[in-house]
Amino acid sequence: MANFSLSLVRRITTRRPWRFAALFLALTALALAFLHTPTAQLDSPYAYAIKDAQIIVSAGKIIRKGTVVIRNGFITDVGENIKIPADARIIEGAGTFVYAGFIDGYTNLGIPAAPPQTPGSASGGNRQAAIAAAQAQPDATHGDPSEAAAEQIKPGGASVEEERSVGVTTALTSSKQGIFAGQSALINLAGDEAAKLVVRAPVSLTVQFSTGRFFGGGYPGSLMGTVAFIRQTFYDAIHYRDEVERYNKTKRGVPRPESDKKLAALQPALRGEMPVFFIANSDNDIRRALQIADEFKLKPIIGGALYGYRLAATLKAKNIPVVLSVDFPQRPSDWPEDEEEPLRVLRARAETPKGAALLAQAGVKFAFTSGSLRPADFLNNIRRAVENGLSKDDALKALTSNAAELFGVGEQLGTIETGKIANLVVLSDELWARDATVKHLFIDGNPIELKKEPPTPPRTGKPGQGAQGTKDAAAEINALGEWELVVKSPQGDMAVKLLLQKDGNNFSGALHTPLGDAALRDISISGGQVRAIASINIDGQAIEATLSGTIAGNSMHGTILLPQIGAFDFTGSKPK
Amino acid sequence: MINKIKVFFTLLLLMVSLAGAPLNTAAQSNETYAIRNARIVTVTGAVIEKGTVVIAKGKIAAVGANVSVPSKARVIDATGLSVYPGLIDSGTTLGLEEIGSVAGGQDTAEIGDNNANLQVIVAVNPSSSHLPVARVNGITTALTAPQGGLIAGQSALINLAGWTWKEMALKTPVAMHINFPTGDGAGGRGGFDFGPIANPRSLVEIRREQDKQIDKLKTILNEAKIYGEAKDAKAQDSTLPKLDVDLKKEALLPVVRGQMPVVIEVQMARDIKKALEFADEMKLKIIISGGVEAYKVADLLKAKNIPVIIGPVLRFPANEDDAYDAPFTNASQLMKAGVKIAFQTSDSANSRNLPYHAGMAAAFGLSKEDALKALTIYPAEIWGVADKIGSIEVGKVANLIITDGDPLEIITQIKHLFINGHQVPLTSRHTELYEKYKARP
Repeated sequence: MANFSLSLVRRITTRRPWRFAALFLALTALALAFLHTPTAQLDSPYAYAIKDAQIIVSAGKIIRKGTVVIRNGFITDVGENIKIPADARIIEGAGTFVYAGFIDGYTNLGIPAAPPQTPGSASGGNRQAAIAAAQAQPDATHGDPSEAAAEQIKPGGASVEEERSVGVTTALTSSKQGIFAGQSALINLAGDEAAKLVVRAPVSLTVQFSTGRFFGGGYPGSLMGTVAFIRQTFYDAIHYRDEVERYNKTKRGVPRPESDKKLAALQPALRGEMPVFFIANSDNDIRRALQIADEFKLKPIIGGALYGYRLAATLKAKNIPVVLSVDFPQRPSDWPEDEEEPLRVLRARAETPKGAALLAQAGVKFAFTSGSLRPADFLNNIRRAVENGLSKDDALKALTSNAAELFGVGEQLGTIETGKIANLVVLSDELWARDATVKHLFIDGNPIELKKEPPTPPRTGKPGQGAQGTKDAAAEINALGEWELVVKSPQGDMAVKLLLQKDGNNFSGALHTPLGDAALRDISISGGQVRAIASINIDGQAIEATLSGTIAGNSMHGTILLPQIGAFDFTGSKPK
Repeated sequence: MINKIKVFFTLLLLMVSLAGAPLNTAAQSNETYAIRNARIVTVTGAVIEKGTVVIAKGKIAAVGANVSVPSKARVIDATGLSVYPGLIDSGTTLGLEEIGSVAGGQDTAEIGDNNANLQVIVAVNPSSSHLPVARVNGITTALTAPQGGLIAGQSALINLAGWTWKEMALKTPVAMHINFPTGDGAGGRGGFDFGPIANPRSLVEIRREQDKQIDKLKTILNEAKIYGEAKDAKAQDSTLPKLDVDLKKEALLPVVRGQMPVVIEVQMARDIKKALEFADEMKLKIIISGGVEAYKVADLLKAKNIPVIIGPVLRFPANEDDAYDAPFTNASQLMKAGVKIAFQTSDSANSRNLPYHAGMAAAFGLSKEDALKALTIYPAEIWGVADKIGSIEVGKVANLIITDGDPLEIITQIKHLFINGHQVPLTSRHTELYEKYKARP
């Protein structure tokens, strides 16, 4: 191509110089277009202008009536009297509110749930095999700090769509398996290729105080063991660093250190270059995290921090940022009227929505995470935090610029300024209005088609309601029969057969698992939801497993909860 | 010939004594004792500041300030000491369990929901190490009760000394024991209790399960009722078809007919109310056991005249927001409302702490007199043996303790102990170990 162009140029220049100039221009344009192919901009060949909208440039900086122009994935102009480029598609923004795309500070979006399977654990079919598999695969509890979320991401999916339907354009995502859950990535929530989603990676190292007790699953099995394990791992990493340094200096006469990708992956955290994202909700977990951070001079971020307001002064004094969960505890929907609740629970319910305000008051810098909330509730709970004393500016910062700065992309995201990535949310009302809906959404300058209506949570109707009743009856018939489920566990997949029957007015059923069979009790089937309890014998202990599943047609997905062991997702279908 | 006659009569005598002996005569002592110069706390009568108790043929033969001492009596000079009736632990597993981690020593529960036919007395181990441990602390009598299932079985009142379980039995069966369903898998169902947080079931489900279990109980009792009616009909009319003996239903007949009391193990106020409704509907004569929240329904219990076996007292409050002393004041509040109470330890190895459970209640509002009565005459009345034990009165079984102080105080020592008129040595595994290690060079 290059040779061809040059010869062409030579030929043309010798004859008609003015023609050369025109061709040169054309070629330059072509070359520019080629240069841009591997980037996101090619996906957004158009320029857009959102006109006459109220623009919330950043917290506290508002343009009452202005225009935002975006082109090639970037914000190219913003202001009151902007000349709209002739080629821009104009979006009438009168009456709308434009915000920088919201950032969810911790999710597992796009990360496949189950790790690679181990042969034997799924097909072996007995408990010994399962235990052996658990012990043979310590990653399930230990995790792997070298595991990069950026390499695991699968684009698309319903949860991503749901998340962005409320205006979240960007999210920190991390694997959730094990104590060292791996390296997180900041991703934009649109695009077909994993590589294009990533805004920045790795962002932080996820560490959580989890324990592995699955089928007798190995060390550490206690909180104290977990803390000890985290410390030992960091000490191992220090030893590894020193050994490598010694070897690199001397080279002769010293044994070369074994290559260890896990310990190598911890080095940036030890150097304070990569923040360590401790998932810690209770004040005691936060203290544990801070102590570890102090010991190894880490740069911690506290994620969750539901009760972090109790340590607001400490967090401020140590200048530790927080990614605050707004997954406030709630009264269970089916809690009986006449049953009292402990003060501790009531207090937590009353206090946690005030936590954000207390953190802001203390001067702690924080972003928000949705935790296990539905995206619609994510924003609603942030509104609750505002109703509970958090200033709107602080809330908006937490949702946009604070998060961007915290994750090292303050220059690229978080405000509506020229040169920043065009992640924009156009709302029908102010963000603080509970009925504000997303009118337009731009991610990387691309308009995102929104789902028509964000799905409303299924309200549990009172039993015996007319229409609900007939629907339930149909759902019930669909639920009965045999199901083949695949339970995802850290030790691999486990095939389980579920049998649901109805005798007269009573449900009955059974669970056939590689660990043994169990009859089901307390079965309830309504509105496409199945719930049942089975006593499973694990290591001589009767464990009450609660199965809850959602049925859609011939498929079912849900969770099996083993008290004090964990919750395990499953999917399944009716055999043809 | 004379020898042959002698042998014949001896054998005859032996056979008569073996066959016809009432339960506790074999355990009676033939020795006569006179406890002199003692402060006598009769419980039912006034305290005798200085008097004598005469024990003969296993019974209390005489009590008073001026009682003549029989010539053949062994005299115990109790100057400075007090005589009390032996203490009664109204809920234990004494004799049924030995060492927790040794399965072979566990005989407290049977598998299944309905164990009405079980009688714990046959399983009582007279050689249990826990019996001497309890009795050297003043406990002479205990209700030993089954634990497992919805209907756990029938309890027995045992004296804590004897060679065989037959000797030990003071009254058996005493009551039918029901573990009132709570629906949460704990509470005597043999299930694992993961606590409220780990328990994945919602309260609604727990309550639904409870109602289901209560219905099951009702069905069991109603079937027993029908069985009883069929049996009566058969007795009237021999042409009716043969009725197979069903031991479980047979065992429940006195229950559904209101002849045998039912001990309902239930703790929380809401469950107690449910248990009372259940008892009303099934026309049962009930006693509440446990009842940590009974004080919240004290008036209701009084109105229905239902006694409560309180204990263990030395425990944590039932709810995390309860006052720290809620379990300690339970007894005094019930007593104030007029409810009849007794104490239990619900234990075997630690039945010895019974007086301190009552002592704690006495420190938190219960009068010392009532605390003592709740260990003696009240349980005797509740268990229907007030004619035999529970006070120092002539004609009662000589279950007595001689102490150097108030038995509810920890520093008090038991100096002498009588069960069925036997003076029982004050040794136990604890004292044996004490002696053993004291002798170690």
